[in-house]
Amino acid sequence: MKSVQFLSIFIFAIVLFCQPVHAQQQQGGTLGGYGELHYNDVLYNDNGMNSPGRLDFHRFILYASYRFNDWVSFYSELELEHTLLEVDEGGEVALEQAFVDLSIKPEFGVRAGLLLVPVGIVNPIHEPPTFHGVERPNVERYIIPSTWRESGIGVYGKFQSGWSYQAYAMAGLKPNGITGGNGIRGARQNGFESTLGNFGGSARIDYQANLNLKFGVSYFFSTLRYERDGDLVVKIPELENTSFNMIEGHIQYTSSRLEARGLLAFSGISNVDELNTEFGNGAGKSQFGGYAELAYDLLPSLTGKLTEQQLFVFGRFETYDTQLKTDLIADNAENERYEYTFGFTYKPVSQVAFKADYQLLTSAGIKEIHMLNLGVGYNF
Amino acid sequence: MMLFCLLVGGICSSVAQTSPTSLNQVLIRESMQAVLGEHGPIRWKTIPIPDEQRAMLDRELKQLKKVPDTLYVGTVETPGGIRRIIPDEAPSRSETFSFLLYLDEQSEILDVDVLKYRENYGYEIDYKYFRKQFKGVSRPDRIIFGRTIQNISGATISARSITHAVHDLLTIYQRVGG
Repeated sequence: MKSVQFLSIFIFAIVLFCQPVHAQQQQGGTLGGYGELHYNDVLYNDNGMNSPGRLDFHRFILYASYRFNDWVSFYSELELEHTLLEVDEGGEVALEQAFVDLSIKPEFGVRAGLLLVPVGIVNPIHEPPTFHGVERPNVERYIIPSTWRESGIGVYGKFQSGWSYQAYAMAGLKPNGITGGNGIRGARQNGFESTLGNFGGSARIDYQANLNLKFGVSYFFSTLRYERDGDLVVKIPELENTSFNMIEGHIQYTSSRLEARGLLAFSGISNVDELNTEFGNGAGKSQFGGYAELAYDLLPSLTGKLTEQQLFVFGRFETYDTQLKTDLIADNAENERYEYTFGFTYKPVSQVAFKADYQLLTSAGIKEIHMLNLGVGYNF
Repeated sequence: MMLFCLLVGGICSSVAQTSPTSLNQVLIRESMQAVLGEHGPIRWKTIPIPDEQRAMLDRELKQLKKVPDTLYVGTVETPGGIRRIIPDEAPSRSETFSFLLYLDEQSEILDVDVLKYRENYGYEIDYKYFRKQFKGVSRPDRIIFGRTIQNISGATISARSITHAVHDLLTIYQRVGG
């Protein structure tokens, strides 16, 4: 019930401050959002634990923004996961973005607040109709922990030549959250009373070469000096020289019928043996992930008509290892994963997607899972 | 729930064309210089949309939720001939952006120029690679997002939005002013 109350207050607040932008050009609010319903069914599991399929309204998100004048704006994104917040049952109400934006000119702007870490393809733009597959790629879950956001301040801009950039100073990761199995996913502070004892930063450059092709690189680093557990923040002298660094590259190709994307990410932790001595989480010395995806729109061939509707058949291969290299600890082969996803995406309009896919999830530890996923997602 | 629906419907729907006087005049002059090579005076005309056209337009429009009462059209005389300028705003992911639709004497699209794009997502619609897809198009039924006007990576929402907005403006213009 708390989540419902919170959302009600949020919506009521929007009512108070929003005015249609067309009624007043300089000031006004807008509302948008996205959501997705998932059905996940494990059809085969090596360990024999096949539970019935699960139907879950995974994400319900509202954006609210307010324009103070022609160059000063506020943007926010509030998320409700799994429909409700119950102790022991999961669910989450979380602020995913909330920042003030000074759009001084196209080539230079400043923003401060809770920002998305500008790494990867899905983390900056994660609305369900923008990616194929019911679930986001696991490389952008375990190596790049989307939705990855942190408090900070930074600059951004774009040029008519096709270049664009973002550079942010932000709170870093909490070292006690880094594990061998889930990488840095549990190390995000998410803007929740983040300590700057662990300082972070991220930068990204993209280039739109032509209508079809876009590529770019990004970088993230964080010091890992302070343990953070709830309100407790303790400096660990042994971790004085411990840090996390990630570099990532991505490429996207889009034509009227063909969509292709690929991503490679590599990260490393210096002084990882001290980190593991301190917390015993089996963190890898380095992590790696990459995927390639190809999608083709069948609908024009099937109907012979020019319609906005699209029916994609797609395939994606992913590989990632949260313990690519280890230092003085055993390398768990189950963390070296190979995943294959095949399926369809039907878009009656570009902002609504019905999805169906089949996943084969394997690891070097011979663990094998077959999954059937169905879903519907939207954004407006 | 009803309150929520009203809110979403009220705020996210485009209900009227943007008046040229509400746009930044400096940006308009800069746009004209870039597209037409000059920024001579614009004669703005407010064209009423007759009732007999409204029912038909109501079925043809893709983005506008309601047929506007009038259409603002600017006329500029250039050495190359008469040029028409139609201003409007369209929604991006969490904001709106303003743009100008440029037409020649045959109602063929010369350019679609984004005047002010306010957020970091979707700004790719202002790249020349995207804009040039509209050039030379004169029939609204040839403006189809994802087909004749291709998406550009990272800008799906804004690309669809400006495509539909241009479709609607060209449709209205050809019915009442073309």
